Amino acid sequence: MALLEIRDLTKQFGGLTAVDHVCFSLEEGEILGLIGPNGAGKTTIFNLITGIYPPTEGEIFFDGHRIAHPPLGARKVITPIWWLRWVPARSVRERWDGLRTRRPHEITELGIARTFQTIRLFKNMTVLENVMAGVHHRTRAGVWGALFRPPAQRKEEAFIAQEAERYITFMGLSDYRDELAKNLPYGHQRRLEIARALATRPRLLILDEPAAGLNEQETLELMDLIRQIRDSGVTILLIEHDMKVVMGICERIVVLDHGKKIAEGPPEEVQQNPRVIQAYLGEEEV
Amino acid sequence: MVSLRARLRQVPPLGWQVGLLALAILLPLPLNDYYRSVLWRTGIYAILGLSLNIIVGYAGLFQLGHAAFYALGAYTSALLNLHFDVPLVLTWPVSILVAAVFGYLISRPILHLRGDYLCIVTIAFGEVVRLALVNNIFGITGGANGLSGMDQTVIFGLTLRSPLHHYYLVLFFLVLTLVAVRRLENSRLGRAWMYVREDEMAAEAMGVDTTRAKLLAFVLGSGWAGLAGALYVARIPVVSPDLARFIESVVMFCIVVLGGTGSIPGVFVGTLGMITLPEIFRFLKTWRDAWMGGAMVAMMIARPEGLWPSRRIRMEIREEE
Repeated sequence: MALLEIRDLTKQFGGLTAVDHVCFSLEEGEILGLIGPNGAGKTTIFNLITGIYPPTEGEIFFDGHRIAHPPLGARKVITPIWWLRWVPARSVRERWDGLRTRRPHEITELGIARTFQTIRLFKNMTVLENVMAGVHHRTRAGVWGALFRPPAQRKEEAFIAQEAERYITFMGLSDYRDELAKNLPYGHQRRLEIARALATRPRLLILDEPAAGLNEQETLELMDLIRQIRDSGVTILLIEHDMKVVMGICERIVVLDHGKKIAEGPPEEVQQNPRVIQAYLGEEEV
Repeated sequence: MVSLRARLRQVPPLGWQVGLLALAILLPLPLNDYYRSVLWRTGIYAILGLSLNIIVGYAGLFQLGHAAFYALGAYTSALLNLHFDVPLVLTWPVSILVAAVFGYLISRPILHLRGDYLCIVTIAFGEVVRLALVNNIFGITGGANGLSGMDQTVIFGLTLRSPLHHYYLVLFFLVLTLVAVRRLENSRLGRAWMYVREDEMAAEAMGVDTTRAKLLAFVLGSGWAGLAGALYVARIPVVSPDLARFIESVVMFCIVVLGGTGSIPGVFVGTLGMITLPEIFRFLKTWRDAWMGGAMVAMMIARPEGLWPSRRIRMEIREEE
């Protein structure tokens, strides 16, 4: 079974159809590229997968869970279902899980992490604190733990710091550990975003234009890192405009134009596809 | 100046803490009862400021109805004592609980609001509480006159009579509050609040349950304001709807903002400016509103980050320096 399956996904903003009946799926361990001209709906798909807004139509399945579906709308008002979550029977709880709209943090808990097109770090916090955010959902201490600091809480704090360090080292940011995120050079900020996403220990990592604004050297390093991340067992879905990156690391490519999927396949094949060429270069004038 | 600052920085934190605590204990001894009362009031408002700082400073949520929770705590304590003869000491946990429950009920439906919208709803809530008290809701709050005739506070057989006793009581809870907020700040929960303040969407995408974090900030902050209300009743056996006046909420908000949002020393600086100085210098009291307004305007121009800002906020506001 596919790790991520997108079925008939549609998103309308008012009269604008940003995503139009898109279907594709992602196998475990794959690197899939999502490309298309500006405004093709790539980032919208990412936001739909990560639960930032619900789709107008269609569904998304991740690892057997239905993580996105159209909101219940009016039906929700008529038949309130929130109490289902308190019913002890497992089948009922699963039904409740299937009906409600999942919030982004719950989707992250299921194993999807992302980076943002415009870098969204916690700018005034240190690199370490930023990466610690990723470990948050894997730990539990609350008010009690904070106030009374029982041994379990102290152990957990040590675990959080240690996990964060691991990903900082992996992304080569050890020298900047206590630096504020906003003081980092641009390329390092991109890496920090990936480190923070990896710290959630995802099974699927979604990268939104990771190479944007990077120079040649940094881009090469990034491609290498993405391969390493994949080899450590994380499936990767990325949006990228830099064709060198896309053609270099993606095993499969999905091309979008005006919200519709116009091509899918290995890089060499997609490159030759006349519809893709037309979408990027426009129609030939006669 | 720089060298003085450098030298002050060399004092170990423990030295500071013990020194300040000793100062706080010894300070009222040479003073007369009036100034001891001023210190007591300062303590109450410092507790209120620290509790509001959890909501406004850490989680970055605007709350301009904090006085309502202060009043709820005070009325809870007063009512339990008047109607059920519960000793005042035992009403304190109930006051915390009642204020916290109201904090939960009020914030749960409005947490998705941001910035100014949230602010408007909290103002409205503060007014609703005040008007409910004025209108003698359920016939138990005594209307505009409020309630009076509560017992004196007795702790372990010791009756608190003089302002000095009450000062030490408030000081004890102030130290407790300080330890608590310091620990909250440096914890998993404290970091979650800061993630929410910095970038809510990124926090959510990293798996932080932002609704829960914001809710906890509201519940803890409100509950602790309830304790401040109960401590007020412990000394002053009269409560009136004036406790929940909008201007009280504004004063609390100013305490947090004047000193520097999110900064614990800042709350003390703010309390000093908003409460202590106007009490000591009478002309400031008569001109209180003008003083408050003037101080806020002057500060927003000269030091938008507050008088004693937290390291983080200073850098947030003074980007280019």
